[in-house]
Amino acid sequence: MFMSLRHLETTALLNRAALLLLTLAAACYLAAPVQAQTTTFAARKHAITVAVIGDSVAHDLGRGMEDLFAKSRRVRVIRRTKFATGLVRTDYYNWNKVARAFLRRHKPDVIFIMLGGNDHQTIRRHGKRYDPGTKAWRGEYARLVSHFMRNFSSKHTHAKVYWVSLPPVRSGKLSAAFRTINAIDRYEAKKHGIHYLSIWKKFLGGGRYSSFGDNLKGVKRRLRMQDGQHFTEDGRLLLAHDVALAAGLR
Amino acid sequence: MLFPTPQFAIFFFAIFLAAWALHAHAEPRKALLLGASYVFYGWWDWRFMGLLAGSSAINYLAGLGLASSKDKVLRKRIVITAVALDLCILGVFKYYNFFMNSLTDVTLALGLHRDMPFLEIILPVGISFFTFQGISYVIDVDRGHIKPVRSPLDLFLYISFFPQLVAGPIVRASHFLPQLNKTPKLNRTAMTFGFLLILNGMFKKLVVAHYIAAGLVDPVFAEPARATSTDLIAAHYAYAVQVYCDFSAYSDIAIGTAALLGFRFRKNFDRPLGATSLAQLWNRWHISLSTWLRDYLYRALRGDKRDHGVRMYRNIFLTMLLGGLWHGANWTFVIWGAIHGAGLCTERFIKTRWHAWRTARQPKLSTLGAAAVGDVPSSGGSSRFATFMGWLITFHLFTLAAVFFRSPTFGVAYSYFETMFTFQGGPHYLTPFLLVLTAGAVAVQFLPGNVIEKLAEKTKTWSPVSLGLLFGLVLLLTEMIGPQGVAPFIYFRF
Amino acid sequence: MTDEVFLPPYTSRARHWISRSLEPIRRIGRAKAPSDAESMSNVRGAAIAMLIAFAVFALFESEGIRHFTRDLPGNAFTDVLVRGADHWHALMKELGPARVQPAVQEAFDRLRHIRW
Repeated sequence: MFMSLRHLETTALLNRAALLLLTLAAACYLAAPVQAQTTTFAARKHAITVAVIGDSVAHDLGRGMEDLFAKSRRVRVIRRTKFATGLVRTDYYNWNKVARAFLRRHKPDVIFIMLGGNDHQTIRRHGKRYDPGTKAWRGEYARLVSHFMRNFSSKHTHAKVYWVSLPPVRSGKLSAAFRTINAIDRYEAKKHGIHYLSIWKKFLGGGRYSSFGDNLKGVKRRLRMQDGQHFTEDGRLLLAHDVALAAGLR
Repeated sequence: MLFPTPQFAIFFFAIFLAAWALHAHAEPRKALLLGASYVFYGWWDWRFMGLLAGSSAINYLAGLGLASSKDKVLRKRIVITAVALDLCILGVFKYYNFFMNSLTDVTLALGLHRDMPFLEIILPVGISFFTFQGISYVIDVDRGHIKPVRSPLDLFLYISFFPQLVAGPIVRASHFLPQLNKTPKLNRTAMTFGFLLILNGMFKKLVVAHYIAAGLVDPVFAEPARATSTDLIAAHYAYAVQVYCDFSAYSDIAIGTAALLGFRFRKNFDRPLGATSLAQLWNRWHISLSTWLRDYLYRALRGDKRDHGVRMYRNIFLTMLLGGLWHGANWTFVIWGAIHGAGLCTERFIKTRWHAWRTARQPKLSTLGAAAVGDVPSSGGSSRFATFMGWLITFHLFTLAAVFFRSPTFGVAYSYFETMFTFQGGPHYLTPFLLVLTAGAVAVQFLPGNVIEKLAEKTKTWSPVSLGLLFGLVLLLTEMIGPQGVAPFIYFRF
Repeated sequence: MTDEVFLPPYTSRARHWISRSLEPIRRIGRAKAPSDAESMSNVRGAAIAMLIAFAVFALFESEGIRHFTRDLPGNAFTDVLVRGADHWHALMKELGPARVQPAVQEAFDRLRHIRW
């Protein structure tokens, strides 16, 4: 009886140890890419050029990056952002052309792309209308994203490319639309060998959107602007910090 | 709905036709304008309409209460309740989270860090403007400057009239309400004046304010520590010009559209960057706000007695300090207000002393009785030099203080001044085009104040076709050289 | 409480109390009030002027109209508008007016980008 109890205790202990090991192994596995990238960038002697491309939310990310690396001689940040643009309205702004020209002119080492915040709208192509929320729209949008991502293939740039997800926003309807767009982006990024960074959970407070949250110093501050979409200075820094950390820049 | 958009053009044209079709029927016309104003406001967020209606209802009921009572105590209670409710709305929507943020700073400084209960509140556009209009109505009724309004339509329309709803001018009830019940008339000068003001506003907003902001102010203020001294010096002038062009543009378009609908609004900006003293500057900058602050805040602080000495300076300073806070829930705005308050007090003190010294030396002057305090009689070349120096000091005080107005934090403002005064580095963002734009905007401040009125007089004989071509082509050119997409007006957030 | 209190016009007892800086725009204030017929003729004039301005825009800013129709929510009605705007823009491009905007913008951009 005593022996069997001990045996049971030993088995339980072994089980726990195995579980701990498994957890550690999983953690190491998950942390591995970040570690590897940290080594890659940290080991570089010359300056790293980081490009931030996209709409007004990307502008926030870019500003955050600039602030984050303001005193760094190692990282140089370039912003190529345009407010109120996306991939749907090529009649208004053609990101494919802009991206190609940008990559030709600058030779960034790391690229962060943040696009799609203005794309929850009707797509019109060859006289056909695709309304947001429909399956046809999702298919058509995926095609647009895929087409855009092709600009960042190894044929056009040697940079490490990251696609940063859209954050949750105050409007529930728009947040749901952003989830769809994020899912499409994630899928397409995987197909095109682009690293996908999700910031969705980072900007949720208690499981839902909140304009407030802990800043980099752990103090509760306003992180999102009055419009419930863009980032405040604290929010920008937090966003940039997380993204830079995931990309191994810090 | 933003002014420089096709949506607004279509909306305004439809309202213009409908309002004039109903010109002989006062009540339906008012109902139409009220409906249009709520649609205009609800375009941002339909939930804001309830707040606007609620705020109007408070002031309307207060007016009725004041009309039915002659008891001084009761009247005072009504006024206090209405003003307190108005300020509560403003306080909750605009200042609650600012207060919590400041409390966080205090607890951090004391080493007692606590997470504050921030609230998920949306700041409704133009809340400061319609709240101030409501307060002015209640106080004017109490002071007997205006008779209370019985028709809810009149009062609700006064508070929500769309041309001035979201960014002023802060129209006084005594000026607006009498116009509502007169049959509207559109004379030729008012018509051309309206078109010219709209053109002027569009040019200032879409070309001057936009390019100055995008090309110089925004990048320089984003990272002042990395900018050169030349750019920082240029950007601090440019920002003053940008705020002026942006905000006066809104006022111009508001006054212009109101003129086309048959309403006359008063001037809100009168070449403020050409002012030769701070007192003059505040008589020319956002006139409807500075007079509001004078009539309702300064007068409330002063009481019924005539103000003088330390009390007067304290009241001037406090008025400007609170005026600064009105512009935004941030300590940088408070500092901006404090700089202007201190400047106004200093200016007044020096002028009073100077005047006393002059009158003591020239006793005859005082017997002429022409000189009021602050208006020092002077003549000849020394006067011209003094005027120039007055402008130079006023202008620089305004532009330097504007750095606090623009900076999101003290850190940014500090870094701005620190780098600016190193006097190192040539122009990087500043281009000849931006220099001409900035300098040109300052130069036109020295033109006579009634240029547009004179132009309206000259063009009033033009045929509608010629006028339409002028309006269309100038607007088109502005649109063509302007940006794609329109940034919201700066004063929307106030 | 008497009805008189509420009757318009809401005249002010302290008419002169308001600052001189808030004087109405004098020239317009001084202008003689037009008759009803004159006023309505001015209204018609203003409406015609606005229509002409719209026409000028339609001619030279056909691309802007195209963008505007695409900003509208998608439905059968806006489909017609979008198609119409596309045809109109194509026509304006062919005839020339739509080519003015890029030319003006280009010239203006050259001016903007002059360096020291």
